[in-house]
Amino acid sequence: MSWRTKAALWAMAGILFVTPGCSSRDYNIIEEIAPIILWTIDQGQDGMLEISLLVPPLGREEKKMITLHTDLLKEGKKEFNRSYHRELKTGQKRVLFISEEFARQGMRPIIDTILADPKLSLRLYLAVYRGDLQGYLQKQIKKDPLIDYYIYRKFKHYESRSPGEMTVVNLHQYIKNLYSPLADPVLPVFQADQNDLTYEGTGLFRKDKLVSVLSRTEEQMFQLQYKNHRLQDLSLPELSVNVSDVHVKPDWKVDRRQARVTINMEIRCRIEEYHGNKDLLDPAQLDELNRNIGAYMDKQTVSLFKKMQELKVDPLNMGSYASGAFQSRIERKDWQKEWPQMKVAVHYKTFMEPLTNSLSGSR
Amino acid sequence: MVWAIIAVGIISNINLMLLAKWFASPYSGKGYAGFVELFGERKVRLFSFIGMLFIFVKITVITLGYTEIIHQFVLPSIQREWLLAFLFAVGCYLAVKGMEKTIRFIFIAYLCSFWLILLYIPFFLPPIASIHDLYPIISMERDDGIWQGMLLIWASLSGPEYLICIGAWFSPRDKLLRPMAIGNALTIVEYLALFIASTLYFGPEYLRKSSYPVINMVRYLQSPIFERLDIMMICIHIFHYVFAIALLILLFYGSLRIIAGKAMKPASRSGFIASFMVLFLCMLIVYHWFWKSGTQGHFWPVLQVCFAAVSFLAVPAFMIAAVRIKGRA
Repeated sequence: MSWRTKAALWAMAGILFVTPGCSSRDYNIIEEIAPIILWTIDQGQDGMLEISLLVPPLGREEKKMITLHTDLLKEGKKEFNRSYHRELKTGQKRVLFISEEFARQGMRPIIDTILADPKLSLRLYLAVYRGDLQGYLQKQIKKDPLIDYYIYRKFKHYESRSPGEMTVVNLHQYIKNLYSPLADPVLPVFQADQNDLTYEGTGLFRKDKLVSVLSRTEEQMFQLQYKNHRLQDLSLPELSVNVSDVHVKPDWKVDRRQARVTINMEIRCRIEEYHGNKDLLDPAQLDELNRNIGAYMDKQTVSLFKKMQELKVDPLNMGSYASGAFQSRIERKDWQKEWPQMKVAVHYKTFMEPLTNSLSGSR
Repeated sequence: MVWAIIAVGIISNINLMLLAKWFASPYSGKGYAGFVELFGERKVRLFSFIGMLFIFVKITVITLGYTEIIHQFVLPSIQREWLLAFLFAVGCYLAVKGMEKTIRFIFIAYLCSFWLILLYIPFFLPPIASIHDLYPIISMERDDGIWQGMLLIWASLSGPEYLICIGAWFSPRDKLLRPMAIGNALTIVEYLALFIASTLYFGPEYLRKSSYPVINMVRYLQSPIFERLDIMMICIHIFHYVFAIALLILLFYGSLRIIAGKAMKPASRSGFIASFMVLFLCMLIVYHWFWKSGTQGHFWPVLQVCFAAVSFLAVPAFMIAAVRIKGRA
């Protein structure tokens, strides 16, 4: 090949590399776009949606919250682009809060819309809130403009590093449970008021409708059964004891013919705080405390399962344990009839780690 | 479905044994002359004509399918016809180098793309994975989707039958059964791994509703360095597609020469350029007016699956039968 041909080919290759920058469809100059991280959806009046966004500031601007009233979710983007001087970009959305009223009515239209957007990542964190989240955010952005980013970091922290404190559910996990025929999804529920945003518990869903939020003790039992089977701190105020670093090895057996669910849990934990009357250096009393803890947790877990059966939800995917490796899968309608009728038997075996600085060990 | 993939793999291994027997026969190393000896010139022209149709469908569906993926995931704002032109141009550049260089390019294509399967390791570890999603492993009930799945796997394993066209480039001492069997086994392992990973990730119900599940899975992975791993994965696959396009272009040109009766004369550059201009024009016409993507239907991929399945089934058996008949006569 002569040098002229080579030079022509290199010139064409160079031009080829430069042309993608001239594309006219995705034009992202940082001063002209508004990538938002956190957004909330609420039920407004007349069946309209109320969407609130925290708009990021640029330079000396203040962070603002913008609330839009629309019929459809995507109309929110149009409304925003009409009223604000920067274009809304959805690719950086990380957290979505949905109001409890909306979640109780059924989230399917929202979920379908979100799924259809190719720019949204499947790691979007979903959460339900009750109370006045918009008021909380309005107040916080004056004190701390990065509040939406910190909320996202909180979710990220509890997803990976510190299991068992709160349920963290991202869009993919929610949709996988939504579409799977036997399981039901869950979402964390937050309570918002003027000064705090606190984690209340786990919200149980029947397919896409929120049915119930767990209370404190139920929440702790649920964390032990759900996913990582670990809990950082387990407080049992009725026994005046707080155990920490709880690891659980679960063993679930579902017997369809006898309509029975047997759950054997082996717990390893460590007593951290005790305000009761027993003398923990006496091995017999320590054993009694262990057995009390085991019996108490048995009772609480059985009542948690009873609650799930009454609500006809199956967030722990027990249905998949109902059939073995070589049998055909149980049908959804069969499982929905059988699950509420099953007798749940729970048995805990507690192993306490030895108390520090004490002579007596524990079994 | 797991057992279905393994079953299809075993059957295709048997098919490859037939193909290896063809390569052991004396006709395979002689190229065009060997075919003429076996069938006679008119029949070879007829087979060439039929083969041209198969090659055209295959190259159309491969190139347009990959262009669709690039258009959807990587470069949505460039017009699809330009993407097709660039991809085809790269394929032509490789084809112009000649059949030997094209065949040797497979090394680069393989080395660049085989390790991508390691990207799917996170899908086998908890918390994404739970073994219960895979049940039932052997399904006792009748499921019509199984047969379509098996047909799809069979068609995906097809491709070795085109080796008969390039038999002249293999040395006669080569015993091809072992490498083909190893390749077949590796392909089956890869399909199994991808199937199990996508079932664990999506769950069996949701998997039926997802389009491009394999690429969407990679979008879920997070890494501190790249945000869009799926773009990298799609772009690395270009080597594999360029090889396939170049090889099919050369085979198309060869079949054109056989039909025109000029098989014995040396290949000319202008004829070659003319043939791939024709091929490109045909693909462009198909893309612009006849290609339906996404929800509009799957006519072309289904057509390609049927053609590939038929060719993989028929070609080795047919060749062996012809050798036997010739041997007896």
